[in-house]
Amino acid sequence: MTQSQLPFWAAPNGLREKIEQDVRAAAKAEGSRRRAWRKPRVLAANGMALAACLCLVALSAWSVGASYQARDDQRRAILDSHLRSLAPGHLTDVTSTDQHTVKPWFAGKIDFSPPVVDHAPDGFPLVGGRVDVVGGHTVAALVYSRANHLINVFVQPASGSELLPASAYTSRGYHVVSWSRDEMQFRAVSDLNLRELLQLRDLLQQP
Amino acid sequence: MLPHLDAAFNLARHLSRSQHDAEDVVQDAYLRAWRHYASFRGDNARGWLLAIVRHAALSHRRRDTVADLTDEFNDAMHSEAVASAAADEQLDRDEASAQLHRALDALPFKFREVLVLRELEELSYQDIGRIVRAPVGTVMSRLSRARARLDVMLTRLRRDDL
Repeated sequence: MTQSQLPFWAAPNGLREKIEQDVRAAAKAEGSRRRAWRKPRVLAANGMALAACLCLVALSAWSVGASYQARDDQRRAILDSHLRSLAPGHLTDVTSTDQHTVKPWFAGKIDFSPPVVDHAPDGFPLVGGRVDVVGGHTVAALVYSRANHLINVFVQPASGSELLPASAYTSRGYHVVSWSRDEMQFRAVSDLNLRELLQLRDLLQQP
Repeated sequence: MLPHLDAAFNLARHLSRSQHDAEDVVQDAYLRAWRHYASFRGDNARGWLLAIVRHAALSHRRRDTVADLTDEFNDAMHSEAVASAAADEQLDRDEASAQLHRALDALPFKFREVLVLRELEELSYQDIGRIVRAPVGTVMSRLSRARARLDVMLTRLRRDDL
C-alpha cells in the first residue's frame, strides 16, 4: 500500500496568528459577557466596577446633599439681604423713580448692566437701586414698591449651570420668585402676596 | 495556545481540496472550538477538534456547493475534472506523490476523511467513528473501500500519464 506517503499539509505561516486574532476578537465581543466572567481577572474587574459604582452612588448622594445645603445657604442669604435692606437707611444707594438715573448709576460699580424699568403705570413704582452682596456674589438690587410693601429684585450675571431653575418659594413669610433672562439671574423677594409678586415678575420678564 | 493546528489544517486541506478554503475552514473551526470549549468532555482534544474541523469543512462545502458535487459522481467522471484542477496547483512534488495526491483528491468526501484520519492522524477506529459519526464497523469497511478506490484511481492516473 502507498497510504503512508499520503501528503501531509502543514499549517501555512500566518494562520496561527489569524486564528489567534479571530479568537481574541470573539473573546472581546462575547467572551467578556459569557463564561469569562468567572475568570479571576474578570471577576476582579467586575469587583472594581462594582466598587466604582458604589463610590459613584456615595458621591452623588453626597453631592445631592451638598447641593441641597448650597440651595439652603442661597435662600438664607437672599432673605438676609432683603431683611438687611429694610433696616433704616439701607434700602437704596441711589434713590430715584427715574430708570434713566438708576440704570447709569450701576455702571462702574458692577460688571453687568441690569435692566431697569419703572413699572409705576402697573402699580410697581421704582424706588431706587443699590449694590449688595448675596452669598459672596456682588449683585444689583432693584427696589420696587407696591402699596406699603417693598420688593427687592436681586440681579446677578449667571449662565449655564449657574442658572437657577425658575421657582417660587416662601420662607419665613417672605416670598421668593426666581427666573432668568439674558444670562442674568433674577430673584424677587417681598412680603407682598405671591400673586402680585408674580405679576411683577411677568412685567420684568417683558423684553 | 493553538494545539493540533497542523493536524487541523491537514484534515481541512484534504477535505476542502483548496489551500484557501482550508484556511477558512480552520479559522472557522477554531472559533467554534473556542465557543464550545465548555462542552468538551474527555481527554481526546485532538479528536474533538478534528470533529469540529470536519463539521466546519462540511458546512463550508455546503455554502459553495456546485464545484464539489462531483464528489457524488462516479470515478470515471472525476478523474478528468480533478486531473485538470490538480494541474493548476503546480505541485512541485515528484510525479508519484503528485499522482497519489490527485488520486486522493478524486475520492469522495467520506473516503477522504477516513483515509486522512487513519493514515495521517493514526487515530483509532473508535475515534474515527466518533468524528465521522459512524459505527466502528462502518469505519472499517469504508476504510477498506477507500483504499481500494485509491488504488484504482492511482492505476488509472498512471495509465493516463503514460
